[in-house]
Amino acid sequence: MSEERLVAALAALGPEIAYPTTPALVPAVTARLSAPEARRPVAPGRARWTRRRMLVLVAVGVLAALAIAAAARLAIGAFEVREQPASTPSPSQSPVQPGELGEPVPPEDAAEAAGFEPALPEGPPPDEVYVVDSPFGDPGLLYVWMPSETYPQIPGSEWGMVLMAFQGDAETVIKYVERFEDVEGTSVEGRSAYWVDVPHVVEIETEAGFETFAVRGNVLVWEGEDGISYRMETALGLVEALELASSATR
Amino acid sequence: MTDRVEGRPLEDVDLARLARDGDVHAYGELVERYREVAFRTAWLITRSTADAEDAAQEAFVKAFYALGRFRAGEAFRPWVLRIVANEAKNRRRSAGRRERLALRVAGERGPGDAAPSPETAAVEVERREDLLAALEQLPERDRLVVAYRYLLELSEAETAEALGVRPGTVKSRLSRALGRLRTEMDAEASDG
Repeated sequence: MSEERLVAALAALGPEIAYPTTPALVPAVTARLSAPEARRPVAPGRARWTRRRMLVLVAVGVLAALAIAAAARLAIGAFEVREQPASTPSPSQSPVQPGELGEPVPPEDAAEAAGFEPALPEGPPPDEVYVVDSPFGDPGLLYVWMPSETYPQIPGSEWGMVLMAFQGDAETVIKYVERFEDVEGTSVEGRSAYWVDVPHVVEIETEAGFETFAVRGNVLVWEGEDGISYRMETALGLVEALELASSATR
Repeated sequence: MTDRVEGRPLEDVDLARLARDGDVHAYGELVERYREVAFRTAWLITRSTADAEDAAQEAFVKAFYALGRFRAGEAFRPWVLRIVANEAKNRRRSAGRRERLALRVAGERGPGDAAPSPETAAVEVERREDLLAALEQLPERDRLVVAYRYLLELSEAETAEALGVRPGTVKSRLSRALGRLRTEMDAEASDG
């Protein structure tokens, strides 16, 4: 079958799909918006607690604001943080398993496979690279380094460092923390970043569904250039992690 | 449909402006225009009627409150579909691995129905059930992009918006998915 014919067949198939009956959404939506307690849309310039403003607040370290906006979500690129009680990983929960998240690729082919080229930290090259391709969002790359003098072993993990890089802002990786106060705002070369140094849980969307892993290392998430966001898991402290992240932007 | 200017229905941007000023009735017209594509967009992700309805309703409510960020010149449909898709994705995440409904074609036509178009006839020749089965075998990332682009007839830009990816990713996923579908259909044809 030619591609042209296949496309025509798919287009003709569209109206034949037996979707469930579309519900009458208007009454429910307008009733909710007309309720006495309903708000009006926030006009531009008067927006309060938008995501961007949240990130600015995080970047300058106004942590008290996070408690006020506890119901809000924090996000940098593909990485989102949500507050959820009981997010401390159980002893049996495994750390990030690259092989469960994507396909290994030769490092020299990684950029082509993902469609973008992340900036890697200065230092030893990664030992393995994986392409992470979820139903939503652009493909991402996951780099892992074996433990070394440069990258001490992450607690509970076989790796010395795990670096994820995604392009775009479709939230593919969700971090669940007990309290937003566990998230420390910082910056990398003037760009928004956050630091989490308490055990928590990370959920990553893959083709197989949602994979959940324990995070017992320290994590720095930052926004790079050209819409690329990064998540570094390491045994290093904040100062060393920030230096590594900064070296990746140079 | 609203006829507020010389008998012509208002454009999306005008309804959105009225809605931003608090006109819930105007917003209801926008919901009416896009409820079907919104619901189906959500259903293709959740494969659950109840979850898709919840996602679409919640998305329209959230979109109303977010109208302040809806930029002049922006198209409303892809903008709201992105919100719908995110809500659907969150519901699917909550649902975990619960069984999802499969795609299927509608039943036979009734005696009063119009004759099938030539394109529809072509699908029947190519065994539309086989095509649907092949589509269901694709990885979800490829299946969704094909479903949005061809079954829902979203544009490439709208597909990119709904999936939260770059237009280039839509092109590469479509190319890969169509290649897989062709291989599958050719194999079916040679077997059959």
